[in-house]
Amino acid sequence: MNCTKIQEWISLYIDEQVDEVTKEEVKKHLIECEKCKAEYEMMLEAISLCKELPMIDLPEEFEESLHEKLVDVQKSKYKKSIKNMNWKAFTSIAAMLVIGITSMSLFNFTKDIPKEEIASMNIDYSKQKQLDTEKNVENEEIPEKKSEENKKDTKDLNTDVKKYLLQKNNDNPKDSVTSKDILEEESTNPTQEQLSKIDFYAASEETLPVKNYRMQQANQHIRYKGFMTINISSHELIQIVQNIGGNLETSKDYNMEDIKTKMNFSPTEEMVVYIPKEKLSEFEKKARELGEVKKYFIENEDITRNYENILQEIKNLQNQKIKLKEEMNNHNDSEQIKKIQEEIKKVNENIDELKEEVKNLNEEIQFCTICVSLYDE
Amino acid sequence: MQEKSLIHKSQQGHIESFENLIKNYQKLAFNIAYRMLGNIEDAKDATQDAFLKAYKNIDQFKEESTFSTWLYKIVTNTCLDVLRKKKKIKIYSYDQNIETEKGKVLREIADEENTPEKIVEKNEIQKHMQQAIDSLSEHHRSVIILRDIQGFSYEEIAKILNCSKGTVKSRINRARQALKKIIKSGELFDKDYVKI
Ligand SMILES: [Zn+2]
Repeated sequence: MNCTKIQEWISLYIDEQVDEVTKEEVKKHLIECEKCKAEYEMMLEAISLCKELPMIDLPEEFEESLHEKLVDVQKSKYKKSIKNMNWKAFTSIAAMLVIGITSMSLFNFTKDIPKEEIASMNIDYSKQKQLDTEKNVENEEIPEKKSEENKKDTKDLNTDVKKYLLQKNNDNPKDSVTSKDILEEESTNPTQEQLSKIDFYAASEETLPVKNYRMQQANQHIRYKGFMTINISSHELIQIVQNIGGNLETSKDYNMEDIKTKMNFSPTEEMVVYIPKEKLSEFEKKARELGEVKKYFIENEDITRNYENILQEIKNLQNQKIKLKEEMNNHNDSEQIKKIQEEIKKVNENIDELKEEVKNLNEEIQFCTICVSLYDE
Repeated sequence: MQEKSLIHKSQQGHIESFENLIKNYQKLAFNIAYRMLGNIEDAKDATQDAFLKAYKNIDQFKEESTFSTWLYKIVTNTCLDVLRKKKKIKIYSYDQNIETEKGKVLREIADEENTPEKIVEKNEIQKHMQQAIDSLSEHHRSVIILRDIQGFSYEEIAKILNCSKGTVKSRINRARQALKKIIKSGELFDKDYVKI
């Protein structure tokens, strides 16, 4: 391993986030290489300086002034709750209809996304979503393969989905308000956008994962995460994942052959695997052939807001760079020019990094992250 | 157990229960905000805003998740929003900013270079540390605060920042590299304070 590689590992090494093999390699290298050792110690120093920063006390009267604000909110919340009654009843009916057409075991957890994030999802395309949803519901047919063998397996999960939907539905008056509404506390009746959003989520639950491609807007980004408990060996799991073109958490560091042949790769009880979205059902099928699946679910989450924020940030930085360059041209002083050059360098680094974040997000969108727990039996 | 019933009562709008619920977390929440925003006044506003958001939306809290993580997530997001708004303003008045800010920082260090007492010295280090953190990008800043100042686990950070563990790993790594660079460059630190 070369020094660049080692230095990328140092941070994770300090936090013991590397596997045994890497750990040994880094350890060995740090003894042999002065330069990396200096980097390592410098990072330790930076971390300990952070740790030494003290906790500061809450400002005086923090609790008192918060209390007053809470009382204000409570007053407006109570006023609202009366008006909300109708809306709640209405969405319950909507939920029943939704459950009626829900046949897959997949659901999203948009509820988990902080309000502001859901809230500022672009309303402009929620109308478009509705159109798409309608189209899809019309054309929808239960995938043939799924119908018989998978029905049993998804039965239990369907109950969960229903429970979830019911629960989610209770939250819907809030789930679908816009950020402006949150601030102003004025939303009382469902708007067309709000209704169409409910439809959209419900329908996407139904069609995931295979048919979901059609559902998604070009500019909408869904992340998939899941969980599986199964009684196969890590070796068998690796094989399945490898066969369908997936990845393992450690596979970025090593290739699959390495993992299998390295004797000191200890069998883990829990492994994180990345499965290409379109291969999800194949992965499930193969896993069920080899072992007994006790628990399995996949959630999807709309990360459009995150995604767009980062793109926007990149855009901002690029504008900033242009401005800095202009400014540099207006300066004659070499000191100033040097300063601006430094600044441009920083901006460039930021841009590169954000681009990598986009790459990461793209991977998360294309691959489903599944945490697999392996048990013996 | 007790937390569960406090959550239930808070969901019915009971203020006292909500206050009890956040009691154990408010100081840490405030400290996250303080390190994110760099001053007490902004930190207080942001923390309170975040708590109000939590109170209003506590219906949405899922019982399977941890309340504190949920709360810190709202706090962090609120701070990130504040920073984004600030940054927008900053971009437009960019030319003045570079020189004045850096000039000020440099002058301050020059003034305080020879402070003899250990306590003062320590305070100075902390002050400069905060300045170093302030000069990190918001992504870097949030992971440094959560990981190295507050000591959250990678999993918790992934939940708070709503991203994957892989992203957390690479962000922490880069953030520490960046922080290290700032410290090393000596822009903010006097070499006598920090032996590197
Ligand atoms: Zn080296």
